[in-house]
Amino acid sequence: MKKIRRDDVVKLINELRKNYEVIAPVKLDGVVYFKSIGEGDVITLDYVNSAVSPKEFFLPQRERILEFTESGEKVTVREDLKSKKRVFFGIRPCDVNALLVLDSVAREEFEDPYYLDRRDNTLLISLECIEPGDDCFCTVFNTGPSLDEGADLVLTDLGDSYLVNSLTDEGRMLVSESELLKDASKTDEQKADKKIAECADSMEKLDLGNFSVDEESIKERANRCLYCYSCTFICPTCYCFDVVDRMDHYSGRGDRMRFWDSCMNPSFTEMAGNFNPRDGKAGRFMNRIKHKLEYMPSRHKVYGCVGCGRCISNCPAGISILDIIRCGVSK
Amino acid sequence: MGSDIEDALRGEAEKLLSKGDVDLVLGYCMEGDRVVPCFISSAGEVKRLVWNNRCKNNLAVYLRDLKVRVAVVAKGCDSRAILELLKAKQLERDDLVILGVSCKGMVDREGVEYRSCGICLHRNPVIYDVLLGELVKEKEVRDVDELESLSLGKRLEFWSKQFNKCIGCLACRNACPMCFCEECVLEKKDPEWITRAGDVSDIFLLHAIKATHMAGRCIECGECERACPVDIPLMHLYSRVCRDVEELFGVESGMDQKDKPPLAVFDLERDAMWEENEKNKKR
Amino acid sequence: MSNPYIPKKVEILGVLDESRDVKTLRLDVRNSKHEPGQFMELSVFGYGEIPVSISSSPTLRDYIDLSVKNVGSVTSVVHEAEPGDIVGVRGPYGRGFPVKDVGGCDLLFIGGGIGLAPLRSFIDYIRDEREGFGDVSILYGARTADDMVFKQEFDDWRSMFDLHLIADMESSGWYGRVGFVNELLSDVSPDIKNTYAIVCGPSIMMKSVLKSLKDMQFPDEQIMLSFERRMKCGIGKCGHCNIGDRYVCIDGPVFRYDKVKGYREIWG
Repeated sequence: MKKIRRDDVVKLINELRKNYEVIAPVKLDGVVYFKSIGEGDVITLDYVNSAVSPKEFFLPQRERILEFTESGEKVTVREDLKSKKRVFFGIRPCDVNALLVLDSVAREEFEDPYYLDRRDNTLLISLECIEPGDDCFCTVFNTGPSLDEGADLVLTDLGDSYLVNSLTDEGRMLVSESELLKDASKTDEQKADKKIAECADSMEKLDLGNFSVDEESIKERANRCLYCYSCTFICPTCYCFDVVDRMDHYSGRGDRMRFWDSCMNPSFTEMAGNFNPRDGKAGRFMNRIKHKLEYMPSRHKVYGCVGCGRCISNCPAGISILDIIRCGVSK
Repeated sequence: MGSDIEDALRGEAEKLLSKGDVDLVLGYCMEGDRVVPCFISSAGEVKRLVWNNRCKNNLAVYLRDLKVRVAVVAKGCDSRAILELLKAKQLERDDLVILGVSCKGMVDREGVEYRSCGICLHRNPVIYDVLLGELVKEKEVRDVDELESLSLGKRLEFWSKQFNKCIGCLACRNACPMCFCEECVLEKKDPEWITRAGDVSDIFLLHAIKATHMAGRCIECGECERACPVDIPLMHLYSRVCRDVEELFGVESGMDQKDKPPLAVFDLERDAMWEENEKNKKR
Repeated sequence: MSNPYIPKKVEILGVLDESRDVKTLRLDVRNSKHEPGQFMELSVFGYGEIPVSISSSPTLRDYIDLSVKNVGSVTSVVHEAEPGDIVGVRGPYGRGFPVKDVGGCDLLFIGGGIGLAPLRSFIDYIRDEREGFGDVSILYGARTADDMVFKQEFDDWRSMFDLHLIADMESSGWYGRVGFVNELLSDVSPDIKNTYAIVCGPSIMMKSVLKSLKDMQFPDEQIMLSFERRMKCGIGKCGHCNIGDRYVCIDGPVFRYDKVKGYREIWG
């Protein structure tokens, strides 16, 4: 393994920026965001996680899926598929695992080329966690604090430097030429392991062997929920989208856009002709929780929750999916 | 003292539930280390109710959908929301027992006071059936919003930066007790006024439409700002609209049930009287 | 990687008025090889895309029929289409009726309103491949006689199959039965051991028909249901059409009742 001095990390990113678009964390008004780094952006290494999940770089909030032009009888349809090689720096293990969940959805039966194209063109440099955030619970789902697969490079904070472990050939080649990386010693590796273990030990673990969703705990929270949608939009594994056509009838040009949608919206299941099989609040709340904790494991053999804790930090009504999970374990 | 109010609250709740005066008590409870809204339906559960400086939620947002008789804990801002909802004929006064309580400002889990609390001029409930604890002294002068001193160009820069963060989730609308329209213009598809499939100019339009629709109804509780997952300081916008409405129509929202909603009622006489008053003030 | 979101442009060969608010678009799609019960995603460029059951049999190699009811912003534009216009299609998608599994058995089709559309795909398939199947009964009901669709097929069907019609309400010119479609079940006496019931229609109708079928002792494995849900992508990605852990677009729209019996959301 290699290591890099803490102060050299920004230099490494600037090196990478010569050949790739680099996405890295920045702080704005005290809130952390992942951003495509440009001149003048100040990268931060002092954060737990971003406010909004990294999924927006793979499944954007809005994207064009095709364009069409209509001139008289002629209709041309063109897909809009373009992406270039990029490096995503600073993604946490829980969010990497969230991308693995999104991968299984994107590949099921039909491949989603827009998502997969971005995914295949992005190298991930993950930052393991040595201290949990207030609402983190990755250890419940084994999605952190350490990362053994899913990223190309993994960095672990040793204090004044970071241990650098390459999990893939692309990861290794990405930094093989850099003079900022030095060889790490066995002591460094042991120190990293110890810090990760200490982090994991301080976090909650649950035996999900006999887990089944406890419906009573859900009903109580469904009353409190404001159906504000913010959990679905900041969640790294939520993927539902709506599709709409836009057309400029004068120029004859139009496009088809897809954009994030939320199952908490009452018209999520509304059909033309006024039939809505899930218009009740409790039904929607129940569907969301069950989708994450029961339907996803049933279809894809992974839980739809990675324990990042963003929904818990943000919920205005103080609802915690971890509380619901705990109720489903203690039987 | 916080705990005196808590005792009074629990006592009142127990009395109302055991006498059958209400079917539900809407208040705050602890869940882990978080303070959350809770719905108490039996006298035996009243010990769950708490009152402290983290009871930030505006409980009025739940009232419309509860078709039963409810006793609700109401701080200054919450009571103003209830009053506005009564004005808009969204609630039945007879179905409510308002447990008014004065608020000294609420803080987040880090102990930092919410901005909406820092500028609040209405800590005492304006409408209540029972007052828990005592009334407190109100702040007399409203703080000036820091954005007021900025030029138009600087304000545009400020909001462009903020709205670039906006993901169009509409949490601000969903958390607002005054947003009760069954069909919201921001989500209407036919015609589609704004689209989540658009760019930042649609986001500007979204916020402009929402802010304008809040005119005369916003009671500055700050739930919108607290719900926003990307921390956009929305209160600047809504406070501005509130000040404009006060200046133009002489009505402060959520203060008097006899007030007619200024943008819903065209009252020549009232407007004439107001103009006259303004002229006299200036002399 | 092929892109499943790109529609194929096809020409409208013909537009047929089925009833006051249903039209059938006949599209230039050859050798569709679809299973009866599958659907297409129909694009009206600039207005939107909607899922529509294929109402023609796969034995008809020169075209496919998509029967569309005028209920919303996209369907109202579809109703203005004319032969020669270009639309987009993606598909066929979904799991259709298990044609091979029911070979040799008797079939009891029960349709309500526009729900007859996917059933017609199977019925006409049987008309063209008659030997593979046993006795066929068709029970069909609509709000009024004027709302019945595919009326031009009824004489043909009467000559080969057992057809029963009913309307919810009276209307001038209708001298047939008045009532709900599950009342027609008392007109037939299927050999339960050898019959499959195939149901499609509005949710309340399907729920009530199912109850009647269970009262007749139909086993769960012999009841096929075709569900309808809001769909956007049609390929299991957008999340709108789920019933529990099943997606109506890729696991359905046809489901065998025993496989979905426990799901609380089936009727909405």
